[in-house]
Amino acid sequence: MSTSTLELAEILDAIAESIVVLSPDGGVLYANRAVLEYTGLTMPDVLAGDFLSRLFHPEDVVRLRDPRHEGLSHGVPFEIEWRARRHDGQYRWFLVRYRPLVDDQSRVLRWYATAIDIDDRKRTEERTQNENLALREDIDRASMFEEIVGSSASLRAVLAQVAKVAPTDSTVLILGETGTGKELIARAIHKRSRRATKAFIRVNCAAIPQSLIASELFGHEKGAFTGALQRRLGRFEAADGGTILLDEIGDLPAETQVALLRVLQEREIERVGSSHPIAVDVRVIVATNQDLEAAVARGAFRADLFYRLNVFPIAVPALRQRADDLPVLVEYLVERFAKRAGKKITRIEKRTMALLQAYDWPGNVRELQNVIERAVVLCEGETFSIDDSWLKAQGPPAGGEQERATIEAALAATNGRVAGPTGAAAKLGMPRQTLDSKIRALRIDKLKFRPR
Amino acid sequence: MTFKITVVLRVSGRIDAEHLSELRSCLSRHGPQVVLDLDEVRLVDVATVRFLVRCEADGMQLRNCSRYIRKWMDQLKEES
Repeated sequence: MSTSTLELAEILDAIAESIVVLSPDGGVLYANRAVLEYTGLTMPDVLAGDFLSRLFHPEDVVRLRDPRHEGLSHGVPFEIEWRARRHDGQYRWFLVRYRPLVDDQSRVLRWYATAIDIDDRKRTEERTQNENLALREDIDRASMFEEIVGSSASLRAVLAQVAKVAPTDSTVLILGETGTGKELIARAIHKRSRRATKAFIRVNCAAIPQSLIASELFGHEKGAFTGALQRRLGRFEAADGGTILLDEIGDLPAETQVALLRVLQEREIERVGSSHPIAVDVRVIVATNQDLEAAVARGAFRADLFYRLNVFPIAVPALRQRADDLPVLVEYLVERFAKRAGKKITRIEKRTMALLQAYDWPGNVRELQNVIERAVVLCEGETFSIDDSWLKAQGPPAGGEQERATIEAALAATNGRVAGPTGAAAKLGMPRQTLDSKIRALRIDKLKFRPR
Repeated sequence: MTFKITVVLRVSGRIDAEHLSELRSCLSRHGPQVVLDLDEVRLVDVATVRFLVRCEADGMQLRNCSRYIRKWMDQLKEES
């Protein structure tokens, strides 16, 4: 080795960055001290033919063999992100930049590869990507019925209310049983409002410990309580300019009810541990499956807050009240879950549809969604079907003896006529399709009620 | 020899009321022979279903219409 080469090698060894010198075809000719220290290899190890496979992650060796080969063959600088094995066996991500040394005829004489540790960045990227995936799945799930599939009268009435109230800034109180899609109604209001491009923040008041809810909603100052190591913005501040949905509002503790009343009246919040008011521009939507008036009557909910919230109440119908929508909803969900599961389902068994229509759905759309998802997972052919026991096990049996007696009495009174203003469906106050399904599920012979 | 040119307009994702005017203008640019391919449509709202019912009544061909949209269209046709 000449003096100048030795000197150059010493200079390269003094550099903290990993540097490797390669021949035009990518064979390793030299690696600096940083490479040897990181890998724990000796120079003879590095110069051996299997350096690449010893250094880089097996997946990357396979995945990046072609891109590397292609990069080397083009004779222009290129970059590759690899995972390189450290002396302790751990892999870290590196950005390797390949630069060619060319002669006056543009022939590559050497490649210089420099590596920068980008492991922290890659891990953050991976974490963000995973979080994004989880959030996307969340949104996907939440937005499955964003436009509320169906056109029953009860649903149309709700959507008409949504259209009316959305452009205003009024506080909305959404009432409805569990699983009826109250959050979707809130999202629909937000989407159609002038705040649509700003944040929509949902807070489940029942899911946050009572001692933390004020801090969650309004934020806290550093040192406001044990464990408050730094200032934290609350959900109201996060929703500034947008909409906040306070779900399960009936579970809000008394002291937080006072603070919420103040927000609604003054349009400002105070972080926990601060007496400095902060103006917020947030539309408040609240939702509950509880009877708030009853809660007011028994002193569990402040009357003044209830009146503030009850500006524009919207009652979301239960699934059994929109039975006409069920066939379309079932088709929609089967298609959606089948697509997600990579299955092809071309028809829905008639008996299954009748069972689904006859069931009361105490858990509403969410329960329907779960039953269909389960059935799609278990479905082996192209015909969708469910097991009767799934519904019976989860709620009241579809069509007990009392229900049979009621339907038969109505059919007897209407001479076996189901539809029309004088039919049994109208008499029982249920949609014709629902009654037809129940008649099928209970195997009632409606012809026997026809006059002979 | 004459050739019949069919324009296929393929839409994807979700279509709701706010997209209808754009869709309508796209369709009108190509005349009544246009075919609307709904294969990649994921979600529609009731306004869109009504629109599709009208399109079909006007002679437009709807291709790859999903079963739930077809069922919903049938339901709306029955109601009207």
